[in-house]
Amino acid sequence: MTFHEKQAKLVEQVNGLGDCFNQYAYLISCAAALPPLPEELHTEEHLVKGCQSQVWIHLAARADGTLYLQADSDTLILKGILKLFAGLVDGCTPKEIMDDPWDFLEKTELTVTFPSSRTVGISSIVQKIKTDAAALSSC
Amino acid sequence: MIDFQSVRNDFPILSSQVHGHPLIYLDNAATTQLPRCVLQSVREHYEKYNSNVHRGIHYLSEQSTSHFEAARAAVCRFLGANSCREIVFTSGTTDSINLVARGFQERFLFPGDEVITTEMEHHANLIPWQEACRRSGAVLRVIPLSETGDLDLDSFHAMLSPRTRLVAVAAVSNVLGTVNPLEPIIEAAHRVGAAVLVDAAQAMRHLRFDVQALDCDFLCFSGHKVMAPAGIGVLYGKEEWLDKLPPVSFGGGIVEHVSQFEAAYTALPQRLEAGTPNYPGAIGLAAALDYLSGLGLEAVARQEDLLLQAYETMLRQFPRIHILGEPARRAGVLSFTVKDFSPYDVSMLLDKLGVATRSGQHCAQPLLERLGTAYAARISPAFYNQLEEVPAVQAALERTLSVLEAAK
Repeated sequence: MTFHEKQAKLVEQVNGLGDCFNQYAYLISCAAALPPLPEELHTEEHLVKGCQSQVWIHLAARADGTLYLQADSDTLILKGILKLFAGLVDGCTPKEIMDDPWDFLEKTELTVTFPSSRTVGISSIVQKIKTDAAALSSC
Repeated sequence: MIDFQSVRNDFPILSSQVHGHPLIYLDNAATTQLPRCVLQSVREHYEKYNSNVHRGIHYLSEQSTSHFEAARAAVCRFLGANSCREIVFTSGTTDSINLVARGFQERFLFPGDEVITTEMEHHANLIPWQEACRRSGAVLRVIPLSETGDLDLDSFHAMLSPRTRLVAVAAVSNVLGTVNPLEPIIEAAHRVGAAVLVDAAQAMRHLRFDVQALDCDFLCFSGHKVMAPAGIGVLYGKEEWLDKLPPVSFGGGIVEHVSQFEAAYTALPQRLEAGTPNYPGAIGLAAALDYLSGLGLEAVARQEDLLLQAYETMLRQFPRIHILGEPARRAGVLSFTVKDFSPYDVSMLLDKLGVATRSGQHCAQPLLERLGTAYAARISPAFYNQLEEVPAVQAALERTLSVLEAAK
């Protein structure tokens, strides 16, 4: 599945959950499925700046050039979002990550009900993933 | 006996639906809602006599000025101040404290002098003093808290010295709800010749202030925590102090005469109100204080105490919830942490069920650090909240925690 197709599937899935409480509850359930980030990756280098909460991300490339994302946060809602991001990134190329619009959250009720400070935080996460993808593509 | 159910109907916003649920607004320590009479007073101002104050030679300006100055008189009466010259309109508590802090820095603080504040202060009553001390060479001292979240008054007494120039203290903590014993603090400070500034932002609906009886030198509060519009606040200062405070903001409205190279300043209170003041805000504030007086501040405080106790009893039923502090007297707010969960997640989920709470650092990072947490959730009811909302909030919390627990 392409990055674009994965996003479309997520939008359908989240919007099918009903009201925004259920959508948030789903995000939190996703948090439980996010694999733990190794302790040595909880560093300043992996910390996302501009987030109200603490968020660490580690984007890496496999031998075939496709990417995978490891992440952690001190809030479950952000961990849930990170789990969805990890699913989107997994197996994609750096080019897809950099070029395709990350708009699945905007197409659900989630962003509408996110406090604006949180929306800024999520943009910072996406920006860091794109920057890290660009760095990996030039390796 | 006031029917608080019908009082609720005075506040149009409280009948809102949020995310498909009836709004339960429990963030009153941050901002209170406005009753119709306050909204009406501001609307009437703009519809009937909007014009700049103190300067125009025409009917509307005269009307606007007279309403603005009547608002000052209303604040003066509300606080029991000696004269309208002691009431300076500002943009809020932060602005009021900054005005005093910068004035002190310029005129009264010298290297080796001391300013005392407390471990429970809002950043607004901490950072201005940090800066004033840093810039003047004075020393900032901080009264520690006891384990219960009360001020350690023994430490305070030990700190006082002839070098103490000012004590800045909150009447009520915005995190713990601690009601501080202002009278003995003021008395002790005055014995060493220090002035006392009271940050009353959180206290105005809980305590009846008579500034002359209290004998504080400065008292600050914001309109948006007493049912008035945002952007208006008050600095009360004894005339003898305000007279000595230099203006820290300069411009129109504060001068008697200006030449190319110097200016002679006008009398109080205008001397400290440079530029166009927020007269619609002041008019709204006067209407709000009038509204609160009509209900009776004692009745308002009693109702808020009743609600706070009901919320405290409810929160204590949750083993995961830890309420911060057990002060001798608490008013207005309950802050809490939830074992294993971020307060952000809790507040965010509660919001989706229509319950408005606040989570974060509450502009009191040193206090939260002292309490051993980075963030806390906070519930702050106002008199227009209903006891019947408590079980609904309990159900919302149960639902929220069950979602969070399932994800653990």
